[in-house]
Amino acid sequence: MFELTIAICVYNQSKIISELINNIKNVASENIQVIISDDCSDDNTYEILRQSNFSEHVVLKRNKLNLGPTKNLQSTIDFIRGQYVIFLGGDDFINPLEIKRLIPHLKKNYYSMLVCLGVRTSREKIVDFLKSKNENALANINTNIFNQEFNGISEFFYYIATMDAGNNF
Amino acid sequence: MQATIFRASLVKKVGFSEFDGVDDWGLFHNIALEAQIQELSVKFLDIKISFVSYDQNSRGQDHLKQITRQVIAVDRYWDNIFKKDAMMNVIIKKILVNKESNKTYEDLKITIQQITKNLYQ
Repeated sequence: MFELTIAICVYNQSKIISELINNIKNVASENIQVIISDDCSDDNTYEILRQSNFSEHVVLKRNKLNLGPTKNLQSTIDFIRGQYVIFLGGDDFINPLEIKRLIPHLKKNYYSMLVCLGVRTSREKIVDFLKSKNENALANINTNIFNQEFNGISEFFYYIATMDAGNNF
Repeated sequence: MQATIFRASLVKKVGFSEFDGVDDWGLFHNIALEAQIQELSVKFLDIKISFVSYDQNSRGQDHLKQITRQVIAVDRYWDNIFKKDAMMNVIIKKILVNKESNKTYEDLKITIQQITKNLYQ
């Protein structure tokens, strides 16, 4: 039994799927199950996911028909093996460090729901924020920030955690 | 919904209802109904969870479409015991968002007219 399941619904997200895959690989662990539910994408989202060599902590499924967001969320329920669950869209990336810090709280207590402080930002705002730091290494940041300067979003999150700058967005 | 962690057994019990694409409400509404039957415990954790999203894919970026979806969903799907609170929460939240925006008076008037029109269609 996992402590937490992260259920992610995806649909036609091949353009950002490499970042999602990296994010999932950094989050999934013996405590954290990840379910990816592809809602019958008609691009190659599912194919890319299928070839991604996920660990046994990741469940990848595909709906035979396009169900829409709500029914796609519902379709993940039978696959949940965690004590708790969090639902995400395929275009949301989470900070593996923050999620892992949650685990002790989940082990310790029994609650129906736990509400955290959600800090939502966009990749565009991150680019603006980093530009404002005006550091030499960051001076030429472009919109490929996640793929290039930080070699993936997880590395970026480590960077932000180091700077303790997460609240500045 | 993203910063909320649900006990899996609760989600399995209540499930998601279709709310015309306001997908997270399909769960929150059912949990609220369940809370009428059994006591549910909610813990607010002083822990931050960050989300990075791609703006161009987010349906929430178009405030007019979002409030239209939400107002219609409240009218059609929320249980009567929650309807008033749900509607007021939607309207107050969106008023605050628009108040802080750069929209002109005319833009806001068109937005309100559109919402009203959609609600009574």
